[in-house]
Amino acid sequence: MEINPFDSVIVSEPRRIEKPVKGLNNLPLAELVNQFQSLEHGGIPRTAKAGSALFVLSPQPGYGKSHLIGRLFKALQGRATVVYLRPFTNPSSCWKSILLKTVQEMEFPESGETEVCGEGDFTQLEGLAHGILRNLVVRGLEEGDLKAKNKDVQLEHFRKVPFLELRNSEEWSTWVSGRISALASLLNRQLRRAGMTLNASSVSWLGVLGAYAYAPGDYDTRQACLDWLKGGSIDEEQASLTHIGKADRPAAEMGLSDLNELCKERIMDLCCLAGFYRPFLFCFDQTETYAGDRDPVNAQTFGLVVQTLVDDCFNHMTVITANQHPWYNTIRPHWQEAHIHRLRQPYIELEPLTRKQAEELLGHRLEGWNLPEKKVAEMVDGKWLNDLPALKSGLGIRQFLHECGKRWKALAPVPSAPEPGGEELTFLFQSYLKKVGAQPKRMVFDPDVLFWLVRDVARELPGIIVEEHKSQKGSFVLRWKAEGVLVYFGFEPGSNWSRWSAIDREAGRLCEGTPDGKALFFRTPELKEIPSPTWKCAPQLREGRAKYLHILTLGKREMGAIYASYDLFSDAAERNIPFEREEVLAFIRKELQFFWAQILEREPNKWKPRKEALPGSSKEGPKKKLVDQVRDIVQRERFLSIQDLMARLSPRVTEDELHKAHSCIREIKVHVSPTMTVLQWRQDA
Amino acid sequence: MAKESLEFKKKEILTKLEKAGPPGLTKGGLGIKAAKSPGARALKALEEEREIANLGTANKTRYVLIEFYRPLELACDRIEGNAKAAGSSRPGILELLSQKELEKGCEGEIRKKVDEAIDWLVKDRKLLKLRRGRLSYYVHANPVKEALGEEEPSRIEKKEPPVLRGVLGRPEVLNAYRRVKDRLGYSNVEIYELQKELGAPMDQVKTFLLEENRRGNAVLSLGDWSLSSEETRSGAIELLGRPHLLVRFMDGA
Repeated sequence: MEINPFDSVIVSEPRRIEKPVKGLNNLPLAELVNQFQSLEHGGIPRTAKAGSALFVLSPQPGYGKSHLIGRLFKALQGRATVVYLRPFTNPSSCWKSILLKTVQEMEFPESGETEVCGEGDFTQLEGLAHGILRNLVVRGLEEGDLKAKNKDVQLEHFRKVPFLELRNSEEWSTWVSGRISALASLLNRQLRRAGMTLNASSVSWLGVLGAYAYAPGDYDTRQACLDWLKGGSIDEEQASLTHIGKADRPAAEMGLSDLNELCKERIMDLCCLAGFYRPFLFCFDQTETYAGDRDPVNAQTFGLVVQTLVDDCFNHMTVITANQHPWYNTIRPHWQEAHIHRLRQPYIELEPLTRKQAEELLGHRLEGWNLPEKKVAEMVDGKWLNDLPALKSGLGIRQFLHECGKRWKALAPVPSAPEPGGEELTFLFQSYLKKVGAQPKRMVFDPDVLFWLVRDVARELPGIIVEEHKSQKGSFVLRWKAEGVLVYFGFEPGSNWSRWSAIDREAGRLCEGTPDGKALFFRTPELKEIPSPTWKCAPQLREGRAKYLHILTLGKREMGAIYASYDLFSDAAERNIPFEREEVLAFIRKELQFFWAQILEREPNKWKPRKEALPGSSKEGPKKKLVDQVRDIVQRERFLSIQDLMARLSPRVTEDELHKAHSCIREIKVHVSPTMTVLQWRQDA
Repeated sequence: MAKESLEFKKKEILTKLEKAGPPGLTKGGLGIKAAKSPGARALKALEEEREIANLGTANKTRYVLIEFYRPLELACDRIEGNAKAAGSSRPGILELLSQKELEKGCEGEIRKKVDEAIDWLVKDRKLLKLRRGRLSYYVHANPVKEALGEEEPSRIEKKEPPVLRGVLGRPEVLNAYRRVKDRLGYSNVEIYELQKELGAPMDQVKTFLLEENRRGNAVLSLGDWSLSSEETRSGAIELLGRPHLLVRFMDGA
């Protein structure tokens, strides 16, 4: 197996960063942590406001922006609810997108070290729910709003009780669910005293948080809670069970702008409630994608989002990262002065890698592989670093790693096989496919990626006219006109029958009298099947699906290709790879021919999902036995390819299952190249 | 007392070097003989404080004030001088020079910069590089231009040093850098902006920054070429094969 330990130069998941070198970007990190501390003062509920967003500026790509976010996540572990935000692509639904990603991020394990909760771990959202309920009770007891026989003993207990103990206590969960109204009054009183109010009722909030926290095994209830948190509508029955008030049940036919506003309110409420627990940390990364050189609305909306977060939301710190030239040339010019003033001055600037740090990074990259001793010695001796005089002042990390990679190749006794010329993008794309495939958490519904694809990428497809199309009831936002077909696009992650019934009605109206018309919605495997067989409106929806309602359920492989395409584009926009945006877009258009063909398919009988793409297969986490097996093998072997690992497992597992399993193991680091995926055991990971 | 004596010695050395100018002085010329003498300690302290530097070697010293410590420029001067002096044995025939012949007279820190200086002069079209098999030869560009009938550079240009038409002082550059940085609000400023602020020729600014970079004082960064204007691009300094558009001074500037 030919390994180049310097191949990995882009951080794509800030929760899985490599060990930092001593001193590098310590000042920016300290500044961020220091600013965060100001949000932790004051009694519960806290009403802290940072007053401005923190802005991290990098002179060039590859200086460690995402790595810094990863370090910040680690530094604030247990102190913040951390949210990593990739860019929204549709300004009309910016808050919907931010809320969706916030909820998805809150489903990451509290430990932040793995993608899936292992034994004894809980999600950030569970932590938030428990934290709010616990501190609400503590505060109620302290202030005499709650009566208890042994007040001091109770107080002592609730102040110290670990979350997991609380979660496992049936007595506590029964007590909470039986007293939602009383607790809601208490919550209102405490919020009022602190000068805060919620947009949705406190009964609804405590009902949803309680139901989510105490029904880990009840998939439908959890899903309903998540739908509500994301601003979606939920079944009446579920709403009653979870104590959601009538006024807080979003209408099935809610228009996009109302829905976007509702999602903004959810975020404001979450930040209010965070005053009972701990602040949020929102990190906006990959901001180059907001570049307004073609369409300034995205950049303008981003400015508005930052202003709203800073001005209207309590208990959070917002961090934005950007590369200097894209920021000053393509985003900032579209921000209003008021938006720019929401960024804290002076900006936080990233540092270059010094010679000493470079040597440490070099050594670190060479650890954990069974590499040829002579070659390692020649890399480590540092003499060749004298040929990099620029290192004396400092270099960007990625620039240095590129030099290391070149040196590593040059030291090969036999020249390595040349990379295929003329097809570099095809070759590179393979590694993006592998990288996305190795991140099971990424394989979820992402309306921003899908919207970007059918609007921005498709714009230059031959024979297709892409138009904004806001339908009357708000179910549709975009339209394609092509020869023989008219496609209306909607993006709905929810699984509520009344919402889908409304969608079907609007789709029917749009396509009525236009035999070429069809309405298209994407679904991903982790989402519920539409329609659910138990819905009363299922026959109506099935009829719609047989005529004009195309629900395109993407399989893992298709999702992989789509998300890998987005990452490839995003890296080109960020200048992480040496390809121009337009070049990458042209490549994606060609690469995703299968996808365009599916969208343009006119025949309803060809719209049926393939077996592989059927939803519902992603609900289960990996089996503990498999996780243990993977841990044992990788720890013993130190590193091996995913194929080798699969060959050693019995009974046989799919690659997807294997990725889910290694995602639960903190010490396993994944390396991808266009030709293979390698798992490495790193104690220090 | 010892401190006063050290300060006195430092002042004495600085005065001598100021008087000596760019040629500088050897350790002996500065009156320092014993390794542990107050003079030697003062010399070491001044080196550490970056007030002075040794252009020569440990055995054959050549101390200069820091503003005269420009090994790359000196190497350029010497190499171009050697190339010009090569002359011609017969009319119409140009004499080719090997690198060994070109670097004659370059010693100590200046010798270390020979490769870079040759690269620089070739890029600046002052020298032409010719290859025969595995051997490289050089020739000054002027006689080639003359032979090809191109317009001869003016007399004034001929008299000027090859790259630098003046001396950029470090304090002057740092002050300009500080002004640009304060105005813009960030540390990695465009080289073009710095050059505008200095009002100095771009090649002079680039040479200075490259030298500062090699000495560990100035970080050069890529910025984004595709988003930059022609003016910004004019400040590009090539490093590791890529144009760098931004500079940041590290030492508290």
